[in-house]
Amino acid sequence: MKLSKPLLALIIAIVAVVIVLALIIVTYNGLVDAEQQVESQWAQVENEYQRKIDLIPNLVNITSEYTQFEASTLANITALRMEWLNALTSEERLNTSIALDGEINTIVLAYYSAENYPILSSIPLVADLMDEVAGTENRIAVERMYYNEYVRDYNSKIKRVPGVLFAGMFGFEEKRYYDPIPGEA
Amino acid sequence: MKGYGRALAVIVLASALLPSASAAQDLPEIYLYANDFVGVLTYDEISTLDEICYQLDQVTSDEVAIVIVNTTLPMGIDTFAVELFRESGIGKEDLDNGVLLLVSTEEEMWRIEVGYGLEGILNDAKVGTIGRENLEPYLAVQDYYPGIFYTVAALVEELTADPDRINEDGYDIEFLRIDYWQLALAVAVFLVVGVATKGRAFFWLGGILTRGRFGGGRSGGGGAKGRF
Repeated sequence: MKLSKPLLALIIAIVAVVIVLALIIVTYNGLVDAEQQVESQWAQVENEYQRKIDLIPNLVNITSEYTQFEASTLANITALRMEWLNALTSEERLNTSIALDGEINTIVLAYYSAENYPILSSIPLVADLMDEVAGTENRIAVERMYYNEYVRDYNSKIKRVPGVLFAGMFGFEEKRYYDPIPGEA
Repeated sequence: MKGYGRALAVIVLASALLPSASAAQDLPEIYLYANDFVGVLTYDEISTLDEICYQLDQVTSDEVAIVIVNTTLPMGIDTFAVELFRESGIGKEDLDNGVLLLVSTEEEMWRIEVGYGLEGILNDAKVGTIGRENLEPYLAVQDYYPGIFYTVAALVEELTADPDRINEDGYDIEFLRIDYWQLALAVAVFLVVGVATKGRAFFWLGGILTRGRFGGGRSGGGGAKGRF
């Protein structure tokens, strides 16, 4: 059987359309998956922040009782905690959390410094709390690292072929990295 | 055409070597439960620790890895622990029931990194207390074995406290998980590289043959650390 020219052209056109559609669907799904991963990982980061926010009242009480941290550090932490609790957008939370990181890190670092460590770690209440605070701090750092990895995957997906061809069409926008360095976020 | 073939050979060889090169990025490759990269434990001591962890793996499927290194710099002990945990996949996949006991002798620091799945049993404060009570007194006087032994014993005690976690029949433990195609490729590549490096490359072979020992678990930064 010999196909007529118009019929052959039609078949080729249909096949081409099907291939393009399939490509669009696969690419679109891939982008959705990548975006979902970024978003669920962000939720994970926020979870760890919540954990830290919950620990703060304890931290402030105990550190002011046993150690001589600058009163301003503790006041700042309390203020930032309120700011976090009142923050409405994740943009605000991001900025507050970055400032909070800096303040709490001062305390964590001071605790683990060699001259303080033996004295403070001998007080069980302080030691347990510092384990929790340092553990939370570390969890945030880890989840943030995972988050940035997912963002990197996602961003490179929308910038590379075939993603770049459809990303704009479906409204996929580049995501921002979570940068812990103040001023660069 | 001849140059083409040579270029292709170089690419094939390079791509076969790349994974081991990137994995080795400042991180030691671990394949036993107990790994001493400093040389503070004797062979018998390592065997005993290995045996304890093996038994634990059999009854609860938890994977405890012990790693002693000179230093964790430039990464620092927190990042080093997370990356080593992920790279080695300590704990079973999906269960994430691994624990990494990391001792850095030059920095005089320790860290116990707990996989996601065990965070409920081994919370930060509990792990911190275990480290301070069992590790620090011995490590402070360079008595590494008792410190590590008692710490592992305390971890095992916590992990086996709940009878529901214990499998009476015992879990099967795969000693070697070998993909024979990979093995054949690895042997071929190592023969070539071995000749090229006058035999030094053969030392790496041990690592490849036993890879895949840990189950592929992940950690999220939970655990505790301290100084000694």
